[in-house]
Amino acid sequence: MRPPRLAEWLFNKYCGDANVDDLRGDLEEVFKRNVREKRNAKLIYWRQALSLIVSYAVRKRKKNASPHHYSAANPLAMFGNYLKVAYRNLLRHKYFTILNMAGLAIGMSISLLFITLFSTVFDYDEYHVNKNNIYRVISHTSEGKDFATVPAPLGDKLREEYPGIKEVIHVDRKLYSEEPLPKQNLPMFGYFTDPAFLTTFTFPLVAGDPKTALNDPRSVVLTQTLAKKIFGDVDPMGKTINLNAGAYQVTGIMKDYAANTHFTFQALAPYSAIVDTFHKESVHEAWSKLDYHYVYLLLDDGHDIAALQKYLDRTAAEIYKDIPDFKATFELQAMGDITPGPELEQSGPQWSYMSFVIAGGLGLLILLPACFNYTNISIARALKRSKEIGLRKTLGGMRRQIFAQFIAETVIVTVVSLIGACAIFFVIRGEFLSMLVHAPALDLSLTFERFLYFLLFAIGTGFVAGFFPAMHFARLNPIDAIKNSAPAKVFSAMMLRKVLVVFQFTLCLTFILGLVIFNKQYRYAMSFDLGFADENILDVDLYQVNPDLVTNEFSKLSFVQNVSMSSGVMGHGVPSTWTSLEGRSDSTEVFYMHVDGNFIKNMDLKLLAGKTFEPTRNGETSVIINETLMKRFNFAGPSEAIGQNVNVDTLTLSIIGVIKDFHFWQLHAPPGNFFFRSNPEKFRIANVKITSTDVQGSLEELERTWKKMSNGSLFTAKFLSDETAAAFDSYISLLKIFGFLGLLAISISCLGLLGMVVYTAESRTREVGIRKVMGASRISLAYLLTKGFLKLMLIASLFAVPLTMLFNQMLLGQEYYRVAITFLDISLGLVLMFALGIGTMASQTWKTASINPAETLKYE
Amino acid sequence: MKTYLGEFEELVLLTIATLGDDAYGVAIKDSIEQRCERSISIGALHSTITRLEEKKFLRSWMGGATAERGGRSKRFYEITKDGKEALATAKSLRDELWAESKINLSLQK
Repeated sequence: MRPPRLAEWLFNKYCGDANVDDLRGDLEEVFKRNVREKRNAKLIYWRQALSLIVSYAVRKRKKNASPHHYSAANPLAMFGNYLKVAYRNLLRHKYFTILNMAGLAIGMSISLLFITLFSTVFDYDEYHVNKNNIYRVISHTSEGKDFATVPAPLGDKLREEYPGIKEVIHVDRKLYSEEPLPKQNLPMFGYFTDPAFLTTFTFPLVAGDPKTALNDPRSVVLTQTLAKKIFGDVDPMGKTINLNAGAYQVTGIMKDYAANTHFTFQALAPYSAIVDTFHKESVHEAWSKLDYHYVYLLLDDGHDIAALQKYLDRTAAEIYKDIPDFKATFELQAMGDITPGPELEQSGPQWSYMSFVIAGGLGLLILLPACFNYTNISIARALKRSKEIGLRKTLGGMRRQIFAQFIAETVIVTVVSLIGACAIFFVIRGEFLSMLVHAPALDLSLTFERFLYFLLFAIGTGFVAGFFPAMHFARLNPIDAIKNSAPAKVFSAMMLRKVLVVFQFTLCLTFILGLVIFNKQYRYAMSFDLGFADENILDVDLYQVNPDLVTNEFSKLSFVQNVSMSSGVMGHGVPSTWTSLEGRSDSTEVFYMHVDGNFIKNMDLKLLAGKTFEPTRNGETSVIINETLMKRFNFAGPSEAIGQNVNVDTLTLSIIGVIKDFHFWQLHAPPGNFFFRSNPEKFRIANVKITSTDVQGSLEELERTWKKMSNGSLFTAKFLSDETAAAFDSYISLLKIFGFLGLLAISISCLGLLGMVVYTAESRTREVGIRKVMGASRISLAYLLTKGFLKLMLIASLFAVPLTMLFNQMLLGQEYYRVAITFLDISLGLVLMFALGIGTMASQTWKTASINPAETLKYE
Repeated sequence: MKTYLGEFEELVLLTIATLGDDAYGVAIKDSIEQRCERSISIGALHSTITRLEEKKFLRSWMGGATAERGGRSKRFYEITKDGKEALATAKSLRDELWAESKINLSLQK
């Protein structure tokens, strides 16, 4: 065994030329003895080496070994000088300093947001005491999809057959119910899970015993918030609530858990309550379903993952040997790899690695241009400081010292900009949170730790922004520098500047074009014919009021044309289930809604064949399928489907109608498999079609009628057309995000451009004066000063257009229905950018071109 | 008073004296650790040794290389005349104080 290399290297590096052979010997001797006698020899070596590094002994020996009295004495003294020079320089060129800092502050603000975001998401699920021993089993199907779920029987199989597992915990996400409260129904959701859930994961109870709370099949554990909503201030323990299948008794109240976990639930009920439903399925069927059913494993310390994984591989091969149409393999996923983790189906809202890459990429896209501005302006102004550098070099300043000086100067700028960035960060934080689905789980407050990250980030940014200028200065030849005759090198620097400007404007233009296209897509989606009429339909929440009563009472009103019932809002997300044709085993996922007989007419849906539902009292008997499902079942035409039976859950329903496809979800994809069912118990919403033009009056009339029959339930009504529009919120938030980022990118680019133009104008005032004396007009002078930049902007547009096409493909690619980009859209974007660029430049160039030449030339 | 001798400095000087010809870094460290039952870091020890050398209480020379130290040599220390004087001053100061103590410092009753 040898001493830790890093410590050794560090020590040798620190000591340099000093004579420390005996000290190294001492270190090694002690280490060798410790290896024999103690367990933590390496750690002790580290401690000893560090104690020597900070000791007086080594400092003294270094001093003795150094060639000059001062050189090893106080490396900080020179930094003091750099700071002073930097400070004076920044003050002297206030205009550029402000431009630079504003740009960097804007550029860094968005990154600060992402840094906070990352640090939050990396804390996910960290609070579980057993986190290192918990694994989730995930599935990969032969179709190439990855699921966070597993077939239901896998858990039991593991429990019975594999000895080394402490706990197998089923988590089934199908617990969903609405608790009827006097004012309005309270939706609640949660898991059916094993009793060990409470002991394995760290979710403490404030009432009830975690070991026994879920033992009884009719028990339920609620979170504090939910319990409070249902029972108010009454002690909920021992009370009963109704879930999907009967009455459950509250046996535990859970402390509201921190939201930074991948679990989301309000209630936990025992898995034993639903386990019977799985026994009804054939083995074949049960192993072919990945249906919101998760399995978590608690392993012993020192568990053997490889062996368990091998067992899972073997099991999968064995099980699926006999199942022809479904194949899957299983994999263990450590608790720490869930969030952030790979993208999985049925995992609920998650932070995947991909979203991280995108967020980080966006942050960089905004940050880099700000850094480039700094780089650009610094290099452009290099000439003005070359005398100072020449002098430093002549007096013995070494390359790396000059380099350090300019890096230090940049770091000062970025750290000061950090203040501005923090201010912007505080302003945009709220808006950002409101745009995200995961928002409630995110804590974006500024802690000390995060502030340290910010500081590190600012210093890092300083390195990035200052690297090129520092390299440039460090390489200067002192003779050229003092003579102020910049040699050929400046050309390469000019080239670099041009590349950076082109990059910025490409980015800027891409954002502008992106905005134009998104806007167009949004308008297109808003006016898209969804296949049903959403005008003049008022959706009224039923709560516990009898649907028949509502239909009768509302129909009596003169302005009500029609009343229908449905289980959900049209076009607003629908539940799914699995179905198969009677006598066939292959099941299909199908989306559904419960509606009554009036619904189809009310929504202007088109029946291709068959008839609508009859009012019934005998429970569910029939379905109306859509065209897509008809084709999925391989019927040649609508009439052929009528009269056939399908299996849904435990029911057998006959097909009584076929309906033309309509868009029951958003425009990501064409309509999928869908059918209407008709179970009056599931009705939640009355769809009232009104004809009156006096909306306010009709609403009041409806409310009066409602009050008479509702037992005090609230009257909540929304126009379907408004709700449909609300479904496009995702577009709006995308537009907002994109618009905001675009705004940042554009302002940074304009700041950069302004800096460059100011510099050009300043350094060419004499030339402009002479030209003016010779008779040049203002306009031709302004053109002279801007034409270089205009050329760069033109080149940028050559890059930006194809880039936009590419991004459009990527971003809107998931939308099945999307608009085409036309020449007009692109020209609009180009005109916008050129207007911005020319506007920015004009203010400065016009000023320069207008100066009286006598002013600029009189000092010659 | 010539130069003040700290407690640890005195300890190091006396330990070097007890080690005779074998007074080098690790030996000094071990000896002090054994006798005082306290653990000291190499850095602290060498800082003190360096200060003692600056005060001319110690003289040092490099010895031969040894295998157990990865082929690196030892630096041996020896007390100088000044060192002896400083020790003597310290001791006589203590003896004096012991002798003049007004209470009985002896632990035996």
